[in-house]
Amino acid sequence: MSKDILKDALEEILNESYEEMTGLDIPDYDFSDSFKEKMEKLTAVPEEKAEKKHRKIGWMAISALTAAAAAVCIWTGVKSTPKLEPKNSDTGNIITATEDSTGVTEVPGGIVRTTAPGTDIKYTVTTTAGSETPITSAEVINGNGNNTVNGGGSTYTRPSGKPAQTPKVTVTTARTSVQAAVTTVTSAHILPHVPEVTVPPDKPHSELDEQTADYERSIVMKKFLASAAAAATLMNVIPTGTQAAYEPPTVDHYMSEYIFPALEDGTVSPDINNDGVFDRYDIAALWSYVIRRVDYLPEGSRLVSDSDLELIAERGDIDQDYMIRMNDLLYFTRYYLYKNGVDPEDLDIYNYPDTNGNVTLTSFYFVDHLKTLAFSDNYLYKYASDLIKNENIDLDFNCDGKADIYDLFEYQMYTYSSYESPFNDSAAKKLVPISSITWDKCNEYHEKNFFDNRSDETLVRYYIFNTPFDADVLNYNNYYDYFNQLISQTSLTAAEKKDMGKSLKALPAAFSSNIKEAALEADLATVTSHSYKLDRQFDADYQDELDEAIADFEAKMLSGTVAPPDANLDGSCDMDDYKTILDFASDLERGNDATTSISLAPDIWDHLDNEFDLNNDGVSGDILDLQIAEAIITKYTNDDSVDLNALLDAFSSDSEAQAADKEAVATVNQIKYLEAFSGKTIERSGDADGDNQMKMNDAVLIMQTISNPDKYQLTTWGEFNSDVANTGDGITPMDALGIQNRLLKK
Amino acid sequence: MELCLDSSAETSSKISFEEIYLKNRRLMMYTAMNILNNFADAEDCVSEAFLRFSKNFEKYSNLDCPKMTSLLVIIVRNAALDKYRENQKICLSETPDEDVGAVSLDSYSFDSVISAIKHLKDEYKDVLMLRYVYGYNINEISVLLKIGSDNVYKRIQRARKALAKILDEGGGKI
Repeated sequence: MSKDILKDALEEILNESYEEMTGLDIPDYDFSDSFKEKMEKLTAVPEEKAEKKHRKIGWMAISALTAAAAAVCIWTGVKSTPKLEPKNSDTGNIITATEDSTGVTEVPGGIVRTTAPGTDIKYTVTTTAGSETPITSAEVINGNGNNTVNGGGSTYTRPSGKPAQTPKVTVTTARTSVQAAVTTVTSAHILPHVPEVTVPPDKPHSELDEQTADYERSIVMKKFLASAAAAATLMNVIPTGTQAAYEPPTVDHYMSEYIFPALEDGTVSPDINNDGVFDRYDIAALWSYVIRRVDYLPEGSRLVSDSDLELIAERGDIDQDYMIRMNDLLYFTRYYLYKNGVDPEDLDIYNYPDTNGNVTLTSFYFVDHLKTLAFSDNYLYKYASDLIKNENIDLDFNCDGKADIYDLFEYQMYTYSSYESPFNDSAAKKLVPISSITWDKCNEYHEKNFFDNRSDETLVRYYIFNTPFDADVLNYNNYYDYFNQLISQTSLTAAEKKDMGKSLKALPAAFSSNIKEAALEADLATVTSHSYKLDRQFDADYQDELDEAIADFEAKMLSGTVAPPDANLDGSCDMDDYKTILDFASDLERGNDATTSISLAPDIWDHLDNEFDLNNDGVSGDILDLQIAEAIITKYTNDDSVDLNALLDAFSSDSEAQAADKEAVATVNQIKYLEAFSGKTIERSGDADGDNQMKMNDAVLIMQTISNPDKYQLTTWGEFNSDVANTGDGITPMDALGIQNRLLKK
Repeated sequence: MELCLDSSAETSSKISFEEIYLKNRRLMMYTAMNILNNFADAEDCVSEAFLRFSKNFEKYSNLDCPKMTSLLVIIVRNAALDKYRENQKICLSETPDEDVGAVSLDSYSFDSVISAIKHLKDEYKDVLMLRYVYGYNINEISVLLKIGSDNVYKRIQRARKALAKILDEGGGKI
């Protein structure tokens, strides 16, 4: 109320003062020429500036709103995904037959390398020296015995009807070189022979598959949403070049200069497990040692035995600094990837059973490590790039006679649909406005890269790095128009077209964002200043929007849904945050960023720039966010009725727990996904209460959660670990019994 | 007098920067001259004020006539005060001040508050005007007055404190 009185009083004075001014007898000043000249220049500028700003604001506001609205539409679309039918366990979606090979094919030139991992899944890997003539085709035989891929590169083919995960098949890989070699990997594990595999319209799947598909979908949605939001924040990307000068590097200078030579010249042996060969199991051995998963997983889950651990302690110091630590693991893994590139077999968790022959969480974590580095160090990119070049893959997915950026846009739509409906191709095709032929061609390519969950991004990068750069590819409007054109060409009704346009609205923004990121990576574009974040205040409706946003945020904050603004990350919400916000606004105005800010530490600047989206509009740290924070802090700093810091503390502890649980759910879902597609389960530890041990109280806790679920609940990990009996059927009394049996056997 | 004769007339966004300049330059010059008593310095302040005004012209051009003219006067007055201090070699940096609690004006009559505001220094009055009448945030005021955001915040706090003091001491009583 005080504020209102003050405002009214000030207005009254302002009007009085204006009346006084109108009554003044002001002389006619004879302004100087320099003053007149200065003012002439100045009067010419503002209108021009205002016009430019108007155009810019219109574009930006629309894009940001589009991204935000599209995100909502996509989520709505996710929820309406049709339910899938349970799978008949007799008709597994996993490949069921391999060549019955009991021996190794003799190839002239002699055997030069053999790897036998010594696990229950027996492989014989044989590399034979080739002739001087480069090998131009490689036969790939899967369970059907009928998939053949031609080309000189390392290839891998997924059998039809199997959405993901590496099949246990016979693979023949050809390397193109003068002294070409042929490596034959032969499965000696004899599986029931199925002479003919027919693919039903719906790919076989189980309820568990549905859960895992949900997980995959959530990953894709997060990616699209992130990209859509990024499209709003990266809109100020401008072109700076015409052709990428390099391809994404797979090895850095430090490694090739200082680390790899020691491995190459024998100073350090890459044969960590001392079995006579350098292969993926050496990486697994060092990983086991460094990560020390053995500390909290059941003893049987170790990938290596105690004696191996002792061996690794002697041989694992890759960088020769007298310590075996994460650096050694990273260097060594990179060296392996450098020498071998991506081999899909390396990324199959079922190639890494523990010392008891079981595939456990340990296997999953190890593959995750390998895959993370393969992606970040561009080996997944290189795999795709080599594949395209060596097999001369036609990227003209839409069959319009040219392979251009719009083919990749359609490929992205394909990936979206295939994650949306992983078991039913015909249903997937209906989700997106691309033709059936295009969808099939995209699918054909995806089959070759199925282990790359980001193959759409990889393709965009390939395009940006390998074609002359046309700045027009950065134009979001192109994709928006193309997308609408595709929808208009479908045979859908007008209402259906409208629904499709609404539900997939984020796709053009997400694709545009991928292109911008690739262009930035290739030094073909640069991001202009962040100052656009302040421009929104000039929008005609800004004040109304701000009032609404403040009220909305305040209501959410008081109900505990969102945290009070902690701009400087000091764990409290006070006037220091207010000052931080002002400093940030000042930086934006001056064109400073995290590195050039004088007042703010880089982490705080980045926090405001990327994580301070108080109105949840996809743009962090813009004028709306800053003014919301300003309003909240100034209002409640002097209001004892609300303790902002208590609200902040309560929210932080809740959100930490929620974040931890989300992470657990995501990881567990990912594991279930792998299990579903491989048809094999990972050994459960029996640790229901999360104390890293399996004891009788775990069995008791399981029974308690069954009999009194209101009082006792298992955590996500606890539930996962407890499902020891008939794994996959959820928590039952049999699991408690299973734990007791295990303990008795001990 | 080149001010808007009809204050109720819609100035709206259609008014051009040049028109605003032509209508207000003399008043602004008069304001600056009253403080500086130096023609060249006053001209500098007027041009400086228009420069600051031009930065957010699109927004300000929507103000009605009294508010727009008053805004220009506020800007030029502060520019002139800055210039005056500069000439006097007075370094006025806003030093940290103790926290000022909320000023409750509920217990005072409206006329008392008006009277108290009139007793305030111009720079305090101006910053309160900009904050509460024009509704500008700290950052916007910072740009208009060409002082740091911290100083704007402190100045608002001080203005409210000074206002409370005047009211407490009965200075606002009529």
